[in-house]
Formats: sequence, C-alpha cells, structure tokens
Amino acid sequence: MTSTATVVSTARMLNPESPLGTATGRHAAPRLTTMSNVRLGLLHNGKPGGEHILAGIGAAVVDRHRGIATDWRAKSHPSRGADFLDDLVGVWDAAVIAVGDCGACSSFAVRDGVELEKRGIPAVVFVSRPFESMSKLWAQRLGAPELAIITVPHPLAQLPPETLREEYGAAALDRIDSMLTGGVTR
Amino acid sequence: MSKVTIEVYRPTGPASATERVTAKGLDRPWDELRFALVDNSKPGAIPLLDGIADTLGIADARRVTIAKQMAPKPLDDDERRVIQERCDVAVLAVGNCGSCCSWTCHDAVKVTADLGIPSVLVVTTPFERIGRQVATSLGYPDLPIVAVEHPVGLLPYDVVHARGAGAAAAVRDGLLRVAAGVAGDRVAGVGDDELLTVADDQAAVDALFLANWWSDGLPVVAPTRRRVSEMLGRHADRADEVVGTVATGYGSATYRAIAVNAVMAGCLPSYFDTLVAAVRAVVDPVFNLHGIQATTHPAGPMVMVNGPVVGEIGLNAGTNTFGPGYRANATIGRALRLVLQNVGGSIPGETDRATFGHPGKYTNCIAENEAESPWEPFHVSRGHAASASTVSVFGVEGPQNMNDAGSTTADGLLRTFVGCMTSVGANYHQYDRTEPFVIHSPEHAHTLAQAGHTRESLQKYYSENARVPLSAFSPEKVERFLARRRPAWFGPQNTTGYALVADHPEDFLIAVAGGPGTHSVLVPTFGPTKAVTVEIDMP
Repeated sequence: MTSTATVVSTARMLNPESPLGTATGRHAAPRLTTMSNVRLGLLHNGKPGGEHILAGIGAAVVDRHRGIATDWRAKSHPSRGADFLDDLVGVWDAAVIAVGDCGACSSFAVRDGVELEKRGIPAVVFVSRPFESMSKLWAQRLGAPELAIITVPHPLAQLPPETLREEYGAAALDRIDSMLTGGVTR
Repeated sequence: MSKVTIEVYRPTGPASATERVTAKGLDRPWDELRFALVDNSKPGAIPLLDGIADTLGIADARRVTIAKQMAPKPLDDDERRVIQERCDVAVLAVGNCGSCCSWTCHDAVKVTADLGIPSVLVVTTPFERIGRQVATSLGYPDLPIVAVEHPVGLLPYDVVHARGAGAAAAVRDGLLRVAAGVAGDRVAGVGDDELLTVADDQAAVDALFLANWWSDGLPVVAPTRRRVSEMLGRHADRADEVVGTVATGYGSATYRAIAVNAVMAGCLPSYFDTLVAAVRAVVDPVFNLHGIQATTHPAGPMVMVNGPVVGEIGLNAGTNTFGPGYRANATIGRALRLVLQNVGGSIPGETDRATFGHPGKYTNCIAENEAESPWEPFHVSRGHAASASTVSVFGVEGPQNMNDAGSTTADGLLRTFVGCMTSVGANYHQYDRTEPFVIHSPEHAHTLAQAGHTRESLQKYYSENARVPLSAFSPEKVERFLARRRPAWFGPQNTTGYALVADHPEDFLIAVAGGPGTHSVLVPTFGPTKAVTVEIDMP
C-alpha cells in the first residue's frame, strides 16, 4: 500500500539548544568614579598587534590622568584563558585586553574580560570587526552581556606599530574612560 | 491499526550494459606457452611472479616480464603490444592495495577482452572482493583471481616467493579453465525503476538502506516517487538518460539515480544541476575514479563551485567553508558521496578500501570566495567565462591547515607555505604531474597580492621553492619504490640533492576561499588524478 497523504499536519518538537546555552547572567564589576590614581592593567593576549594597541593606550592614559599607573601582563597563549586573574584582585582597578582578531583568541579575550568583571575589575576588550558579533554573543553566554567591547578594523597585525598605537589605541581613550567609569558608550 | 507504507527507489541505478568477455583458446600445448608476467610495480609483485613461474617450471625463454611504472594506471599501448605479439597467457600481480588492485584487475580484464589472451589476477586476500567486483562490472565475472596471504610488500623475497609457489596450481587451473571456455552465469543488473516498499517510518527506512549498504550511516530522506520527481524537475523527460558510468562498480548514473541519491542526502531541487555537474566531472577518466574509489589512501572527491550559482543556491564560500551549517554545501557533497557508494558500488570496507578514509568522505563541498579574491576566479583561470557557473572536482585528502598569524609579508607567508608542502609522506613524490592544491584565505591572498603576486607568480614560486631534501626520504622507500616511479627525482641522474613536489608550475592549483583569519590550506592530492572543471547546465 502506498501512502498518498496530502493533509499537512504539525508536530511539536523539543528545542535542541541546551538550556545553559540561553542562560544569561548580569555580571558587571562596579565602574570607577574617576580615572585618576587608578592602577590600569594592560593584558596582551599574545596576538601580534595587540601589544602596540596597549602601548598606545598606556602612554595616552598616563598623559591624560593624574596619578594613573599601568601594569603590563601577557598570556602565554592567546587561545587559553589567563591563569593569573586571581592574582590581580586588589592589584588592578581596571583592565584593557587586546586583541581578539581570530576566533579562538577572541573567545578567550572575552572570557578573560568576563572573569575580570566577575572579580570586580571593570574591563574593556578589543576585538576586530569579523569577530565582533561572536564576541558579544560569548559575553552574553558567559554571563556578562554588558561587557565593554571596542571593535577595530580587520586585519590589523600587518599594520605599522605607530598606526596601531595612535589610531587604534590612543584614539580610543575617550571611549575607554567612559566604559570604565560608567558613562558607557558603545 | 493498519501499517502505512511508502515506496522508495533503489539508489543504485541500472547496471551498465557490458559485453560478456571471453578468452580465446590456446594454440600451443601447456609446456610451450609464453607467459606475460606483469609486475604492477608494487613491492612483492616480483617474488610472487617468480614463485609462480618457477613452480610451474616455465623456462626463462618463455617468460616475458612487463614492468609497469605505476600501479594505479592502465597498461600503456607499448606494454599491450608486447603481450599481444609475444605472449599466450598473462599473470598479473599484485593487487595488495585498493587502487592498484582495481587497476591491475582492469588490466587483466582488458588483456582478455581486447587481446583474447587468458589472464589471471593475483591479489592478497583482503582485495579479492574488489577484484571480483571490478571484473564483474567490466563484463568478466569469470576472470580467475588467485588470492595469497596479505601482506606481501613488506616481507623478504623468499617468503613471498613461497606464497607465489603455493598459488601456482591455482594460476594454472584458472588459465586452463578460461581457455577452455568454461563460463559462469551472467550477473544480472538491477533496474533503477524498481521500487521497494517499506514502513512509513524513519527507523524502518534507515534500517533498509543501512542493511543494503546504501547509506553513509546518517539518516537518509526516503526517496519516494514524489520527492524524486520534484528533484528531477525540468529533467523529468530525461530521467533514464545516463550522465556517466561510475567506477568501480560501473553502475549507470542516470538523472533519476542521481536524483534518488540527492533526495536521500537532503538536497533541495535547486541544487540538482550542480550535483549533476559534479557527477559529470568525477566520471571524466582523467579524474581516475577507478583508483580513487578503491584506494587505501584517504582520498575522495572534493567539490569546489564557482560562478553565479554559488549565491543563487546559498553555498557558503566564506567562514567555515569546509565546515557545517549550510545545507547546500552539506548535502551536495553528501549526495555525491552517496552516488559514488550506490551507483559506483564503493562499499566501505569491501570495495572502498581506504585504510583510514577521512571525514570529507561524508561530504566535501566548498565554493570559491570570488568576492574576496584578488585574482581571477579559479574557473576563469581554467578557461571558463566569469559568468559561467562551474563545478571543479579534486581527488584529495582532507585539507591541511597552514597557519601563519606572525608573518606580515608575502615572503614570510610563502616560507610557511612551502614548509607545509614539503612532506615525505605525501603522494606528490610517487606519481608524475600531480597537482598540489593550495587554497588561500582572503587575508593571506591580499598580503600576497599587495606584494605583486599573481596566481602565475605563486605557481612559479611554489614550483621552485617547495623542495624536499633527498636525505629526508627513507632509503628503502627510495630504492624499492620511488626510484622506479620517479627516476628523474630519485634516480642517480638527480644531482640536485632534493625532490620537488610538482613537475611543472602550472600543476599547482590555487584558489581563494574561507573567511577572516590567518589560515590557508593545502589539500594534498591522491596523486594519479587531475582536477576536472565542468560547466553547470543551468536552466
């Protein structure tokens, strides 16, 4: 016997997404009241170009804010989470992370930013354009949907250090100040 | 409760019609027969043939040795002429891998079919079944096939000679049997319009297809009349027309058979013309499906699509182009694999003898990222109009990544790329005119283009700089294998101290695909295969 059913019926199905995958927390460290006398951590994730962006930011904040100090840290590998974040509690008041310009390094740059926020340290994460949407998604999935993310053009590793320092790093200072002190602009 | 059933098509297509092969009788008594001893170049063939000939008491004057340069290719005209003019019977050895077995079997059948000369194929036991399949599909189910214990390539001469001695009586009996005209029954073909009835239930459909080796292991969409008719669309009136016969089982890929497998794979009807073009491409003899289907090497066809069709049917050329998430990529590649398995009779573990295989044998379909390429599209470089939509197929391993996030110059990147190409385990060194396939990401391509590189300049650079020091190769492998296959690189006449990875600059195939990121890929070749590009017949 051949079925010749023409009736369109419907079926109810279970959502294949994990319930954990759609859970969102609202982790966010308290914002700073001022950038003066702040100990600003600069976390280089190891991707070429990130060091120049951070160097530009470090020089610019010292010029602009009285009493600010910067502290440089580097991860051993961009595709792993930083294993020294616990050590930074009470040492850093805020942090800037650069740079997520590939898939795994962006996901871990975001992870480091979220983990710093959970430890009470407000953070800003630099990612390049193709990885912006996934970085925002990961921030949400990891429980910090408001994570401060600054998006820069892609690719960037081949650019002159001067360009990265000035046009990518120092030029973002207004936004970094605003993101870390609560007047968030994205 | 009455059980509802559906009718589904067999996915095998009709068997191709072949003339029954028969051997001519012998004009001389047994003790005067002149033997062609065909050494297909696989280590082990010579001691096996010696063991057979010594045991049968064949004097040297009655032995004509034919030494093929490469196993996975047919006998050439000169070799066939020697057999025809100087020999009465032929013994061919040794089928001890997939592609060498399929091609040596092909030779054995053709020696009888074209020259009338009785022949015997010597294989190792794991390859007996594919030998039988190939012989049957070529119209010669009676080909005598003598199996010896596997392996033979790695053992001392005396051990393999003894195995040949043990097989000698079977070789003699086989030759005398076919020379006497003793034949079996013709193997019946299976009609492609034959419908099977199965319960209207996914589990029942999957069980039916798995039990018949018609599935890749994933669930299949039941190929019902209605779905197959929708897939055929404008081709309904040519459903029985044959697009090509598919090695190694040589079933006929009719439009209907292709449509059946397309339905099973989950294709949308809008993908069908692209799939048909892919089938037309892989059955081109230069692609060497007869070797690729059977080989122990982890090779399978990779599909790359160019032209307007890419956007029209939603193929992903960008981020994760080899990866999941896009129905067109996923199901066109899968449908081609199902055609190879079902119409081509490439049964995993039986007639598909891949030692490992690779995940791309489930599906392997990308599109060139023409929009982000600094160079002319791949199909244009092969003589097609930019406005044409094409399918290119490549007989390849899985893609091998070439990561360079540190180099910002073309020179730096190129050094990384040639370093990735120079592997001693690749098949480049075993065959002539192999085609290393390089797919650059848009980022890497732009860095290269900004330094003035074109496809042609890259081909020249790779040709001159991808060199493997001869000292990197195992001396045994060179002596037993490579020196015979590639004397220009591995023989005494090479005084450069290194081997290349391709004979000519234009043998390097270069395309651009994928998304942002500092990765390019090398797609290593099966070796004795050529890329084929065909235009898609669009409505």
